[in-house]
Amino acid sequence: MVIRDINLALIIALTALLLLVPLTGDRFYIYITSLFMIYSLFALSYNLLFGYAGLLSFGHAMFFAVGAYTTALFTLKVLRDPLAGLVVGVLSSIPVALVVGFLTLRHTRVYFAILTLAFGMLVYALLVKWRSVTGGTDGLIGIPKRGVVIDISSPTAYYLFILTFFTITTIGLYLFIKSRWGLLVRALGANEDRLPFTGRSPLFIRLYTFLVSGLTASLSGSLYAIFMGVVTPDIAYWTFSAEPLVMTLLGGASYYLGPVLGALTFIILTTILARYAEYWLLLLGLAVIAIVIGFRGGLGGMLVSTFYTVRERSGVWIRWRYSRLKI
Amino acid sequence: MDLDAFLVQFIIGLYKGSFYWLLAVGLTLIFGVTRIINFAHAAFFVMGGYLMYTFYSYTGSFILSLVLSSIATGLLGALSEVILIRRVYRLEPIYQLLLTFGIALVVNELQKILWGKFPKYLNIPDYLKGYISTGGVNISYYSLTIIILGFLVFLSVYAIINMSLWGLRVRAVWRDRTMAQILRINPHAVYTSTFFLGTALAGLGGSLMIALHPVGPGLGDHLIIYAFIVVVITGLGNIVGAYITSLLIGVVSSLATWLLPEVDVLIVYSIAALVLLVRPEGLFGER
Amino acid sequence: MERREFLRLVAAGVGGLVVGSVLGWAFKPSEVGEVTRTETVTITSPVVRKLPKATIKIGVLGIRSGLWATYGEFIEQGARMAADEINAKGGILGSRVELVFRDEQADVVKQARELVDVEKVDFIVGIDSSGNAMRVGGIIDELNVPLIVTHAATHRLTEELVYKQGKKLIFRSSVPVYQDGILAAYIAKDLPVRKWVGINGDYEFGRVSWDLFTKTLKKHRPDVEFVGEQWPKFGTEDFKPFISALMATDGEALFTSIWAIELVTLQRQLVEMGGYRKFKAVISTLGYSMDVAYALGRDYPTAELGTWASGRYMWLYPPTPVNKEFVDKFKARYGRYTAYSAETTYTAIYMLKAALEETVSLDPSSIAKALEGMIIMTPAGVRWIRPEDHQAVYEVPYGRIVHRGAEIPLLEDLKAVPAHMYYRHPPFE
Repeated sequence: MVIRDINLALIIALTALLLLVPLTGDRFYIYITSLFMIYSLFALSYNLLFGYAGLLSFGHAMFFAVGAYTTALFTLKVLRDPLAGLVVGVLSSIPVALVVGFLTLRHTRVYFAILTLAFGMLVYALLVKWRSVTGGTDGLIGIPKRGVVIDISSPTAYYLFILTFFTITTIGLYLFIKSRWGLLVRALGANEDRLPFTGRSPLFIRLYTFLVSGLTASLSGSLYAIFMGVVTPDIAYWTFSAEPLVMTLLGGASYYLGPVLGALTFIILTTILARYAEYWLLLLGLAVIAIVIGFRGGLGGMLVSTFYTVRERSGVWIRWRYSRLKI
Repeated sequence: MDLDAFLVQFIIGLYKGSFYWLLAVGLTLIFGVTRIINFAHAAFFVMGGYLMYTFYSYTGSFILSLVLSSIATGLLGALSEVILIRRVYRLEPIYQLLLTFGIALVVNELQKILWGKFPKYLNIPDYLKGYISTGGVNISYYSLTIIILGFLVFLSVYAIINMSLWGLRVRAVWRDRTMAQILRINPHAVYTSTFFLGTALAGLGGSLMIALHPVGPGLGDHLIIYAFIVVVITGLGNIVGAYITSLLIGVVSSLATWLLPEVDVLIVYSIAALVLLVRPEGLFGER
Repeated sequence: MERREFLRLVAAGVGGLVVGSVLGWAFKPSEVGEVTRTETVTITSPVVRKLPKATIKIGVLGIRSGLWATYGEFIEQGARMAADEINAKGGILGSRVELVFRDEQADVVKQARELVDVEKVDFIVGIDSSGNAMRVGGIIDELNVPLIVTHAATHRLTEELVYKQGKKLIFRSSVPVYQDGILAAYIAKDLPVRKWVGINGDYEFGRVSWDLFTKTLKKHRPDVEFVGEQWPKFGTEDFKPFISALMATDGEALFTSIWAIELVTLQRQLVEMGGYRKFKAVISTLGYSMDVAYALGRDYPTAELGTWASGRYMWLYPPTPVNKEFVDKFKARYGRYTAYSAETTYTAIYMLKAALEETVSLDPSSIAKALEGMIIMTPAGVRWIRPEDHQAVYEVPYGRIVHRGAEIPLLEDLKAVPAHMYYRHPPFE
């Protein structure tokens, strides 16, 4: 079976690599890679809005938080099972996406960005104030990994649980983008003014993009809740919304897997750098500045252009050798 | 309803609103002219507080330090414009926002490096230490000073924008940049000076705040939301509106604390969302 | 072929015999003779007990960034003092104590996991925030190291996680929210005021403090009324609207569990707005924390019937030699009087030392068993680690703020209530 699409090939390769991790048995690696997968999904969902549809949102954390808290509440109060909680958590994003989307997507991009910030903080305020349900700033603890349907309490088990969803969603999202629906989304991002001429309503396209993005973000939130066992309101704060943005930017917004690369870089930076450099946020800030000014393609862009350069240079060399051989 | 209590809450609301105003005026000004939403604005506000602390420890004079720190902050803002922000005027707003976000991170961390991670505090100068009494509650002279200063700033900014030559150039660039260039107005000079003024005002706010509340790392993250809320409810780019809205938000949240203590935070965000939905360009916005 | 095989067999046998004899001769034991030797050994030192590792690593979590960073520093001070003292005296059974410090604000779960999986610590001590304590406590079974919390005060840590859920690796050396809520009511009941108002942070700690205070006070003084309550959110910069709202009531006395830098701002603003003319008494549950005492210094306000303050430990109580020596050494090293979380962390490390000396093993559950029921002399007095919930039981007084010319105010009229009266007891209903 030949996979012609580079992205699909990369996803499969990545999955294979990720399957190796639990074999090391190192709990910390399993932990950090699980976190990587969750963040990757979050960042991918973000890039659907940002890179493909051209919609900058500062409230994306609201989906993450809604998914996480719904899963938490469901498993703690209704049915003690992580899989059921996950499903409910993902579905909970639908009403949020529809309501918020309908209210905010009618506006132009700058206002949309600010509106998402306001709504995101509204969700945060709700989570903090509604102590009887959400536990306020202390959050909810004791989200179970052992349920009536499945039991994923061992690190290997929950790792594979997350990996399954990671692979399925990453491939699924990619297929979405490659589909006719996705084509419209890319058209929206490329040149919005032209879109009505095709007979499609931009609002409708934005809405379903928002929906798909929200579903994925809530999935990552639900996985996070189960993984951590604890949810607190800071996952709804605006600075958390900025994280997938930074990851996307770092990895390159115009490449499908850019956010994944960005998530990897971000985690490495926050884990390793944070231990040695107390002022790593400074470096992050400088990196963001540098990227915006010089390297808007992010790391993904740099990798791709390096690849092309190498290919071309070696191509030139090979052609030169062949020319000598007169073949 | 207890009139005295209402009056007290109202005055407190005015003083809080004046702080929001000092924070938001720079943001509004900068956006109106350059169309850039400066995410780093709150970081500069906090910077003003830190600089005030340093200048005060050298000069011992409250007023002098106030002036110096405001100017210094303004210079920093102008510097950031010249070196960094200037490069992204032609890019999409998304990247401009991101750049200012990066600048905010850098400024925040620089503050930690230069001043350490423990909060800094100043005392109110002795000649402002008194208070007036109403309904059994004291209102400090300092709070009143802030209200008055806020109003003066409003008048000054309004006057500068609408009556001075520089203001004329600013308004020209605001309306139509290309035409302004044709009329030989240098937009770069206008942009940089706007950044200077806007950031200096934020620095002034921060300098005043350090006498009331300790300035420490992380404060900027917290305050930027309020700045955005004000700017967003007002509509970007309207000075008069921004002043009124700032005071309004201050008073409303202060009254809410008194009458509906459980939901004060929720109210502010809800108002913001509501206003935006009904009138996305803000209460006073021009679009 | 038979002959050749037969010859080969014989050759092998002869060869084996030769080799065997040679080897046997080469390696033969020495002459066996009768030798009797006796030796007298005098044992002057006890049997040497050693721990399996030459270095014992203790992970220390505290708030090291943001506005509450002072508290992470307090925890560090106490930890370092204990570690240095112990190492100077030869360590724990000869093993050195090494500390690893992490910021609990930078995602406490990640920090805890890194401490255990990457730094390979044997214990974790510290934690300022109740939320973080619950989070780390929630995964303690996965981490499988003993945890001694030295500041976070939520009673849910011990009542729920240890008592109800049986997470036996969790301990706490500092007094929990009982001190803020229940003990404060014991002070309040003797004050000649009837109407109380409260201003507390809108999160678990604030809510629980006020809840326990009002319930306990009402039991002892049914005539008391609570006429106002305000709930500033965590991290409030400005208390003015809350203060003025409370001043609009007819409250006579004020209760607050607000702490750290917020408390400094609150007190300053209370003074500024004339709160101290209105409220005849003020109870500040963490008012004698050293950062507050130093920040307010000579300007620490006193109310007509007193500003009553407390903390999780007060350097001036109890007046025992152990405490005095501790405070003097601390002041010599750090230049200030001991903050409470420094003492509780210092104690936590000594608790671990005592447990290790008993078990001579690093097995978490044996250490937990050794800690359970332990009675240990510490600067704050005698601590008993209650076996049911692993909570340290000891007395902490409230005192009235007075100014006696020093750089920080002192406490007088100390009221110490026996711990069993203000601690909650199992089954905690």
